Amino acid sequence: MLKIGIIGCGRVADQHVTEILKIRNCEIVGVCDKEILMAKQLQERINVGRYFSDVDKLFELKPDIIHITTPPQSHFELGKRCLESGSSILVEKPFTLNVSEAKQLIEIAEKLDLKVTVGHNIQFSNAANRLRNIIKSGYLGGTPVHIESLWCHEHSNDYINDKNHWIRFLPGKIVHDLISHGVAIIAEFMNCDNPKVVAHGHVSPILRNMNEESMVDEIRVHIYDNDNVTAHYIFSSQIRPIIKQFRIFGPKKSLIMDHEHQTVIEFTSNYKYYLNHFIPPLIDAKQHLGNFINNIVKFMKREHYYEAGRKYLIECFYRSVADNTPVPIPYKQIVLTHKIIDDIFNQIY
Amino acid sequence: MEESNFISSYNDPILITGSNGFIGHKVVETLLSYGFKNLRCFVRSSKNISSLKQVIAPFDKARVEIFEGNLLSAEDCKKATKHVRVLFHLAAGTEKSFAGCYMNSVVTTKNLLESILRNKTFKRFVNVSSITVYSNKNLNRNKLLDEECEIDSNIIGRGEAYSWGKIMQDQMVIDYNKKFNIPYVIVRPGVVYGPGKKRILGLVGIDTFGFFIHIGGSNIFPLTYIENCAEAIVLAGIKKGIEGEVFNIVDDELPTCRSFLKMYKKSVGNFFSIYMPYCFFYFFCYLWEKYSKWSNGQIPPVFNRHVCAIGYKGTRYTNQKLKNLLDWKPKVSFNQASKKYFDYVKNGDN
Ligand SMILES: NC(=O)c1ccc[n+]([C@@H]2O[C@H](COP(=O)([O-])OP(=O)(O)OC[C@H]3O[C@@H](n4cnc5c(N)ncnc54)[C@H](OP(=O)(O)O)[C@@H]3O)[C@@H](O)[C@H]2O)c1
Repeated sequence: MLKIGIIGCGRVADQHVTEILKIRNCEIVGVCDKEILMAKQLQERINVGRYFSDVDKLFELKPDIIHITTPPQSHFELGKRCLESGSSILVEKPFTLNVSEAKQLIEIAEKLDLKVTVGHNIQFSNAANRLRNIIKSGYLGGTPVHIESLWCHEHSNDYINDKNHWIRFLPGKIVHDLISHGVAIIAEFMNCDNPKVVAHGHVSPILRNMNEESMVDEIRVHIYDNDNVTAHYIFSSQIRPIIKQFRIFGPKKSLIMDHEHQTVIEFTSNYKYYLNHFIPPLIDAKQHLGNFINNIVKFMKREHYYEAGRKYLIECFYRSVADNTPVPIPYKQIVLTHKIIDDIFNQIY
Repeated sequence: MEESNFISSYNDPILITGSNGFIGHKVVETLLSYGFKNLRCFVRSSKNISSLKQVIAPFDKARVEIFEGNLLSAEDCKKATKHVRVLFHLAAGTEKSFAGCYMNSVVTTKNLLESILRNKTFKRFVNVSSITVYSNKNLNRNKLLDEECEIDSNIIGRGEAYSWGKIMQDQMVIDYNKKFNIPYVIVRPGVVYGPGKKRILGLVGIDTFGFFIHIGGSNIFPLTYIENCAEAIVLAGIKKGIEGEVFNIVDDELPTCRSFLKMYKKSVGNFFSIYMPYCFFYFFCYLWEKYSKWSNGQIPPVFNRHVCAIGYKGTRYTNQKLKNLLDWKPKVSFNQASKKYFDYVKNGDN
């Protein structure tokens, strides 16, 4: 039975705990928040384990894994302390504030023979897992030629109304808390160490109308690895409807995944002359129908829900700790994600 | 108004949290119109406070301080409560997550209560709660829900983070009173309506599935118009001799859900709705609840039998205690109030 601890008992902790409680062979032994009331309310609601305001008290319970669900500014320090006290860590995204902290945490974990991962749950949604499997089967016909990741966002009153919200003090401000989902999936398939990043950012009229001119919320990025694979990343708070899409283009075939609709669609090949206007739309319709059926079947099997990706990721990570097998997100990918994010923010701020 | 009937003088410092909110800015306006001259308005950000500024503007003789801060910061609370005699606590967590509601309703309240512990001149903590904290489990259909009714003990099962936060908030205030003698009054408004709030039809029915399902039928809609509600809150903060009392706030001449919906459609614009009798909705909630449980939360348990009963079983409401102890009566009649409200929903602020 794996012993699990939680540090940071806010909204995100609620999401983690809901999924942890569905997983077998693990138990939450303690929850901790520097505001003791927050720790108490979580412990009382889930009615397992103990609650603390002091992390050392949690460490005394010797958890195998600690989830760090605090604001990102504290991820590095807390992560280090958890590792040094003997627990593996699952850190909510963004993993750390910059790539150098990310590398250090990974180094410490490796030295201590412990494991780390980051809460990129969307990378493990049903659709994302399906996409990964198709690509693994060689569908693209070689290494990817180009990748596109589009992430749209609607501003929330949380940080708009609160001038002291922690999001405002992140290096990438508002975008920093959200960017890693869309970038991590690029990092997963780019498979290189040090790509070049060219970023442009500006303030949307939405934010300008709210007198928020110091926060960039429109980002366009070009990422390239010498003469190999290239990628585009787009973050927008203006584009409607909200689209969260990932497109990957191979030398033979290409794919499109929609996070919001949980669909994976193959780009249909071309046909001769006028046939090209009639056959591909039919094939596309068939593909959409296939996705519909797939989602419905998964729904019936109780496997299709919003946080399915989080459960999958947590479960995989727990297994990797219990059986000492590879972690679900390779460390190289975590580092690359943060390198790209650092480069973007260094250029737009 | 006679100052001698009040627990504080017109120049005593008064703190209003959530002062930029829907009800908060009206509480500020009411206090100013009663003649209180020394207000501290707690806001999270002073960037978008035009409605608050608008209500303050006509009272140029009063000293109104806009205090920018976050109630989650003990330091901000300490500064904001300095020398304060009466505190109107309207800030609250209104989101969907339990942790978020707890944080902004309960942790904020604890910080405020802690910060006034050493304030020797403090007279009253006015805790703005909500009528949703009650349970009507032991009330038969159409029975009266008053201040003596039981507080919902199965609130987590109800799945409503907001109401849970409010119950825990009330408990915190009562605990601090028991431990440290901090004087308090609790007010529990019904559904507050007026310009500034577009959607209030929750107790009439639901629109989750893309069209309006009307469930309330002949149930009484526990409305209180924003100006009437704000006045009740203010009186609860200043009247003598009501320490530890709880007041539910609803107006007179409460309409039924059906008649309100009819008026709404006629004044604002028609839209498609179908009526679902209570027993059908109860059965739907039963199925939803079971599926949610069986599927391990694949659909959230937002519809459950408990929520159904609280919202639509049919309960009557009273404002007698408000009238008896606070001499309150609704200044704006239902006819005037509904007209102003429907005008706002239809035409916006212009
Ligand atoms: N409206 C109703 O129908 C109704 C019915 C019954 C009871 N009530 C109660 O009445 C009170 C006021 O309701 P309302 O409708 O006016 O709500 P509202 O418009 O949402 O106002 C709540 C205010 O609280 C502030 N706030 C929240 N967290 C805060 C924090 N950590 N620090 C500082 N300020 C914070 C918000 O600030 P921001 O503006 O920065 O977000 C907002 O101005 C609440 O306690 C509510 O529970 C309302």
